Amino acid sequence: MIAVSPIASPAFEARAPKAIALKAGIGLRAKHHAEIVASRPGVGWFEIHAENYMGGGPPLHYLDSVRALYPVAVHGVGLSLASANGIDSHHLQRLARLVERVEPMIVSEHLAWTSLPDQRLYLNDLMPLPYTEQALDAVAANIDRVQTTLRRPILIENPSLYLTYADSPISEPDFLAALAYRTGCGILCDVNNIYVSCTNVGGDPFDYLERVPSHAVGEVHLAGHCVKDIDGVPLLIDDHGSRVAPAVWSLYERASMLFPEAQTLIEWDTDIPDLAVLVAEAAEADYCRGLVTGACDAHVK
Amino acid sequence: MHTLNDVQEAFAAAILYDRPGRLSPHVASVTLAAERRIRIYRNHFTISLTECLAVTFPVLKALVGENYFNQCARRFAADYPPPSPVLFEYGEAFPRFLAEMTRSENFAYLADVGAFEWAINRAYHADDADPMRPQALLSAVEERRDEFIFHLHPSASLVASDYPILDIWRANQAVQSDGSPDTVIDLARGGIRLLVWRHGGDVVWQRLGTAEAAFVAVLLGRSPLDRACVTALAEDPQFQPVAMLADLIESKVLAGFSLASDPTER
Repeated sequence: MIAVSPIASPAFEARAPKAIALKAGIGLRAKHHAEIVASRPGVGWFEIHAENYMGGGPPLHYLDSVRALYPVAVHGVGLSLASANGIDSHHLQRLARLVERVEPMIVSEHLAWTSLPDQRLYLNDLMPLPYTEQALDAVAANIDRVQTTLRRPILIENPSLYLTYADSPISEPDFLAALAYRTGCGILCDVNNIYVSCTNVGGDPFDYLERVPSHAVGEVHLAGHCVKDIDGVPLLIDDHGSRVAPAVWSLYERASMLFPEAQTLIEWDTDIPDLAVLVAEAAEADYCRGLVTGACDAHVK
Repeated sequence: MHTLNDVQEAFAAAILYDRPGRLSPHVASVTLAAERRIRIYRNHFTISLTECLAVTFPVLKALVGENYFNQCARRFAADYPPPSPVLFEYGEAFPRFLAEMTRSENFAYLADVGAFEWAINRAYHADDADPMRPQALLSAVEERRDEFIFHLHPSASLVASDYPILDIWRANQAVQSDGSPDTVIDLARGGIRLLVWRHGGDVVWQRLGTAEAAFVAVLLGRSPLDRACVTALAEDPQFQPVAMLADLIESKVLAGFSLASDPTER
């Protein structure tokens, strides 16, 4: 592992949106649209997957209704920030139009690649990249382009890893820190992904957390994972299809101490349960953070 | 020294063609072989796109059964991977692909049923557009018929089949617990032409006669009104263009019009 030292002073300081943390938010899913507008659950905010709202019709109509009631964050899955040959201009324009419409509290994307944009090929997964100086240059250039187009900083999320590369001399938290320093982007710290990655490819999740530059963290993700046995080796799959695991809650307690101003989100994308289950998970996160920061009531709007 | 681009090209080959050979030397393989790790990404690619197609084509899946549907979907994903991350736009070519894999005259209706499901999906997600204001026509009342180019709502499309695909689709909305639909449909019952679009928040459709369908097809191709009238009247000399246009305006299928000499939408 080598540390990445700053080469030049950044254009602007890494600045995650600094505000009092809202109550935890949940992912907005189509099957809950009508119920949310009708019942107005007591969560702090909603996060959308950008790509689900790039058309018109009922999805956009419901998004407008939810946006009228709650803060909304836009979480992209398809920009492919780590693509070696730049990002898809057309897709970036569609994201820019959505961001203009929603006026979100946060815009975020992943430290991963999903596409070969020059070949019009999208692989529908968050693929890892080797953490090298060359990759750092490529990702920083892509983030810079996105932030310039959107005219705002974005948050970059650590991915769940199922493999790492033989030649990957920079640690993931250092890589994220370098991106924040170079581009002024913030960090979306997914504590479930940290736990999944450390289990799958090695590393101590608490050590990882300590290395993340706390001043840059604007959001924390929580989600469930499942365990698969592959050739006798237990591997964690980040399927976002269950409750948050106990070990991940422990990691979240530490994250709450380190990043007290960050927003928290419960993600649940497969086998999506009733809205009440998601609201209960969000309340659990509020309770957990309240215990740690001793300011439970301060988070309640 | 490998570049980021080399790694990504090798990764794509591993996912699409199950050829991990170029990627695996770059992968750290502590505790688990590189090939097994790479396979996790390939599996996710295949399974997630199969699920995506199943959401768009539930009736096609009910008609051919889950196993066969998944088998076709996996091959389709590898042969025709998505060009963009907006997955509700993925799969237009799938019904034709599935029908071609299923080389049997007895299942020729499959592609058409799938095309209807695609039209519904397309109509649901299409961009919003205000319906045409009939008053806008007053501003162009002096123009000639061959100047008018009517614009259909972005959600509108036409599905035509030699088979009773609407009956097939309806019968498969309520699949019995033993997996069999509750009706038997005579394929010889005849074909159908459907105009599918979004009205408010709902996807709706209307049966069209042959002349009406020919008229709408010309409008969908952004050709002038004159051509649409000639084409429709060739199908049926009794066709009533004015009544048809009034119906399209009333149903909010029309979003506006432009003139051949001035492409600005009015």
